[in-house]
Amino acid sequence: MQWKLKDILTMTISAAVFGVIYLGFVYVGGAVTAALTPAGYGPIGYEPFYGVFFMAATFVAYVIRKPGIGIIAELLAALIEVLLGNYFGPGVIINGLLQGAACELPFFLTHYKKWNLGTTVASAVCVAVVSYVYDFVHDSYFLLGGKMIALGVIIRIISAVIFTGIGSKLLADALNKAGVLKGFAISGKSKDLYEE
Amino acid sequence: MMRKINPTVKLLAILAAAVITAFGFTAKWNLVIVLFCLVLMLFSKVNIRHLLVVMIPATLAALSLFFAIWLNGKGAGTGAAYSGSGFYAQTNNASNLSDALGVGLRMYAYAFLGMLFALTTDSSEFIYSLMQQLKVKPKFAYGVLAAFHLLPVIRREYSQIRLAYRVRGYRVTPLSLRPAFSALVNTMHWSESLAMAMESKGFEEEGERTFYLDMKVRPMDFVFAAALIAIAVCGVLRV
Repeated sequence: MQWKLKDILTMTISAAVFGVIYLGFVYVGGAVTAALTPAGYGPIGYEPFYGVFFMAATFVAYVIRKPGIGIIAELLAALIEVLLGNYFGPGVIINGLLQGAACELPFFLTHYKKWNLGTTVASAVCVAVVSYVYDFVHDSYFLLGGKMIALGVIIRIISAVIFTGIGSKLLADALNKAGVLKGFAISGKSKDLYEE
Repeated sequence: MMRKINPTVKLLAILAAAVITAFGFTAKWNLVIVLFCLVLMLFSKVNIRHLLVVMIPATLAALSLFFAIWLNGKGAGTGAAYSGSGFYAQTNNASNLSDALGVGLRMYAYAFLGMLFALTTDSSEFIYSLMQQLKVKPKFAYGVLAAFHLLPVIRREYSQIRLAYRVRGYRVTPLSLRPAFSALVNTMHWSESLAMAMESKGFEEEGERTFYLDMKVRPMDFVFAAALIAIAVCGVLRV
């Protein structure tokens, strides 16, 4: 299942659009963080929006349904975010790679054959947990104390299920219904995708 | 100055520095990274306004981490339990303050590393360098370039659609999903047309290509990479 030019362009353009959306939510999260800072709850300011940051991988994987394409989509979204000026810096690119891989894991485990709400929600929960473990080590979250960590994990998983698990599936299904995803596996009509 | 550094080498060096910095957080060496990036950016004549636009939210994020760890971190809890009881509580709080300062400044170091790349790199040069130095396949590289250059068009389309909705009497707020969805539908259409346009212009997926921009790796690139990575390693070793 080789990636065609059409797959790649749809993937890169989706990644670019999500990159812009991600950057917008980085600023929203920053504002919430600033509001919570005086109370000392600053570091959970981003958690309600974390699900948005995983959408590119699950969306692109769900539409194109070829191995690895979700990982690259998330990586590119992160790269474009850095190029547009994300203040979390180049480390975001590594985040993107890891999050993309975590998003794709449930699809990989079902051999890229099961595409329903169950797998997209599994993808969301998987990426929320993996990304929190990474932040725990990378951003020294262990210094934050138990209450904040528990709160952070729970809010992040809920956010991921809503935005990544349910949101990106609804979005892809709606676009498919609008008829703009013909020729991709999601439309179920293109035999040529499986021949290669 | 930084604009002449090879984009691939620049990205890899900055990425390596960001990864290495994650392993340790001495306030002193994070400050050195910030100053190093700042000086290089000033010598490269970056747009000061762009710098400030990124700096303001970065400052808020750094402050929030600083206060959260300083006030709520592991040490403070025990400190409060032994409140006013001399040496133990005080040393505990002191280590909390330096931890907080280190983590807060590291946030700043990340922001500056990111800006050093973003504000001094031309997108076309970056893509050409990826193809020539990292051997990224042209169909990926041009796909990324096409997407990047399509962004302003998508933004214009989105604002036109919002306007069209308002003309028809819909109430449009920044969070309205309808215009965003319409814009996405058009964008997905474009990606198909774009693929068709590229192929009809003779773009071959696997063919050999020549490049009008010849990106080279020069000794100066390695000097920059070595200097930046050396600073990051010093920070981890707490020299």
